[in-house]
Amino acid sequence: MHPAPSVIFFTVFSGIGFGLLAWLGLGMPSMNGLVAFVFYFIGYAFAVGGLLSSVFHLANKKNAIKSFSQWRTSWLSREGVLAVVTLLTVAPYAIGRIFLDTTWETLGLIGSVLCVLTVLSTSMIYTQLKTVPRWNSGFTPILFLLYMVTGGALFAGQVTAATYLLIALGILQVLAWRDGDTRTVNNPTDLGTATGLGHIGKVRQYEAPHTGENYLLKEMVYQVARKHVLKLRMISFITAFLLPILALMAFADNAHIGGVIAILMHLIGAVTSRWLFFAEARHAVATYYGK
Amino acid sequence: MPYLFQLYVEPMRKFQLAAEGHGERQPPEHLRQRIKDTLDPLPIWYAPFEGTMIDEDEYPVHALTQRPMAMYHSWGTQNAWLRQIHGRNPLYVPTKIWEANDFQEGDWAKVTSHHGEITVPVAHMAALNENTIWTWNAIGKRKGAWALKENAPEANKGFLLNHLIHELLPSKGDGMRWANSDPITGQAAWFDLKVKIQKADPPPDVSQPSFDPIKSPVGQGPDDLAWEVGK
Amino acid sequence: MTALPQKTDKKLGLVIDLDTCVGCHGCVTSCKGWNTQNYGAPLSDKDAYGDPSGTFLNRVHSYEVQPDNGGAAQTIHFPKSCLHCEDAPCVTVCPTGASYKREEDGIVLVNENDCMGCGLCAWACPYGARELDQIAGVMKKCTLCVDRIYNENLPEEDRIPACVRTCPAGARHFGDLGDPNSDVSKLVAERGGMDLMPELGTKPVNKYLPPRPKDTLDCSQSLEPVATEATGFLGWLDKALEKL
Repeated sequence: MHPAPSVIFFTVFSGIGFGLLAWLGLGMPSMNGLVAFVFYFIGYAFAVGGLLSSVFHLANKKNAIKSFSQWRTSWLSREGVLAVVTLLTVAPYAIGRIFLDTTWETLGLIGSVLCVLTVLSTSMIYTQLKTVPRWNSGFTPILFLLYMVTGGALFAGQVTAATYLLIALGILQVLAWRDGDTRTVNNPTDLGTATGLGHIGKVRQYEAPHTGENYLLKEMVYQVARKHVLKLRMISFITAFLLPILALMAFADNAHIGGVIAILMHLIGAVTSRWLFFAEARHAVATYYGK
Repeated sequence: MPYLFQLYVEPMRKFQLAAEGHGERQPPEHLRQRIKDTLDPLPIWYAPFEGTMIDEDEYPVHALTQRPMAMYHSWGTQNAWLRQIHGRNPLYVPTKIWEANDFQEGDWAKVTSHHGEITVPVAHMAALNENTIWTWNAIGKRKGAWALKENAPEANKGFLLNHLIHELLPSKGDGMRWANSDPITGQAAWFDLKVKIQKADPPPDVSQPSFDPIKSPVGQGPDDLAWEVGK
Repeated sequence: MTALPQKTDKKLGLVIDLDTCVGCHGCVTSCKGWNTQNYGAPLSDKDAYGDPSGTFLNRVHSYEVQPDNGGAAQTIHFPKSCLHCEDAPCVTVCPTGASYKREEDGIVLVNENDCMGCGLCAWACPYGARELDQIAGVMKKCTLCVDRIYNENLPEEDRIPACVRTCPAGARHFGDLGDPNSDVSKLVAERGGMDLMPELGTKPVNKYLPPRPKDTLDCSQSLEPVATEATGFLGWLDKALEKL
């Protein structure tokens, strides 16, 4: 699938934003006043900024408001509704912490749960698609949620939790890559089933329906060479997990510096892995083009 | 309704009889043998002339073109649509020749006849006679033609086989040249073409031969089309 | 609403005969033409006279099959457009309700007044049936010529999809696949009409008729010559006529 920069940044940063808000809702960190303001500013900026960038990605923005209407059937609609409900639920809790030096724990917990449900909704948009075997896996929501919680923990300064989460996420990311590779190799869909001509023999396309580009090729038939994929997975693994873990451990006495390095490295790695999430995702329509 | 097929064509036999010496009206002497050989009243086969006048070992491959069916759906304003179906035409190569030349997807080939040479993109097609290559005709265009922009695929990757085909058959050394045409209808004998093919390495940027862009007398078409017919 | 109807009164769709299609792209062009005239935003083209890329609702691929039984490779032209699936994945993913399946005839459509151009329905469709129009910003797809089939301003023989009306080879058929007695249903039963990508569970309504099996050429079975030289009466007649 074409890795659109706006969608990559949207999902990474809004995920981390909701993650940070979730940690805050559980009282981690527990500071109030100005410090809380800074944390909530970052959390809201990431979450809202991410959502706004996804609206700018739309080809016909004027109908965007209608996307709240189909929550009964559509994960994309549910994501929109949940995002708004979450941000509105967290707001009074944030106001309590910033301006009133008060922590309404139950409200905080509800807010955190809503954050998780929002990101879960986002992940289901991709997971539900049978057209993309690499996404159509239990690993997809697990990864989205773990990136959310891990990135959130790093921004929330939860060093111990972040270290364990980075290890878990690193392992699961590798397992997810391998699960995706297996699904690609074992894909029952091929040009034979796509055309119904497989019973005759081996099918191949000798001429495409159009000699130039079209929307389908640009959006859904994106090819990245295997050797590039392997290199990028290495880079992502090192920057998203290895270096942040090392930074947190090496700078255990100076949590701020360790935290900043870990965050910067992790962001590079998270964006890289999200880029790969799109670039490696093979859509069923590619079959018709013999790709 | 029964259809009457005239298998034996009487007028043709009259020409042939004249060439055999019968009747007052006699053909020019230099055409007598040709008329005797080809104006047969019954359907006959004879080797296409080009092949009899060149070294067929040097030019062993048949090269044909096919009219793009899609281009029949009007030459007018639908051009912008039909161009997307056939904006460029590869030379389709059958499996035996493809493998013999170690062609890979994206390769180019130099194709040579007794008359000319072209260098063009190739594509593999298995459902093809093993000694025949072909392409779509009338796709290749000169840069600037048809009110197209200079990045038009027709002008860069598209090509014509025309440069390989002469109006005249090879010289026989007697000072006279026969037309490279059907002896009865005068139809140009495009399909008699014999060529040789080899990989072009490194490939050129654009199909060869390539000519300087021509200036369009009607400017260029608009960038975007979103008109409603009838409005 | 983007909930799928539990059942539809009819299952209107197309039957494409892969044994007959010659790959002329007439259906592609007539569809493009009809849909720059009526329903919704016209199908557009970008850089129309340069390196063009435009919106089409129906496209024809050209495939070749190498038969398992060792025969010659076969060319098969393959028109593809929306299959108006019973379990259409493109309908349920839509967040605005623009994508819907009609209960009266099963036709899947896009309400362009609601579409926000997010493209998720195109991602959900395995067949590449939906293309986002780059100029209008809304999703376009085969409408099964809903603006022709019920249109009493058209002569009766034209109240079928433009692609079916135009096909010079007669490779396209239109009707109610939910009625076992309809012509299209009988055609599908007779020729073994098939689903595309059945493993994805979309339950496509459009069916494809497979090419009929080809004979393999057995050159060892050529006819023996009857006689190399005519003898008897025919031999005399032959020589006599030659002398004339």
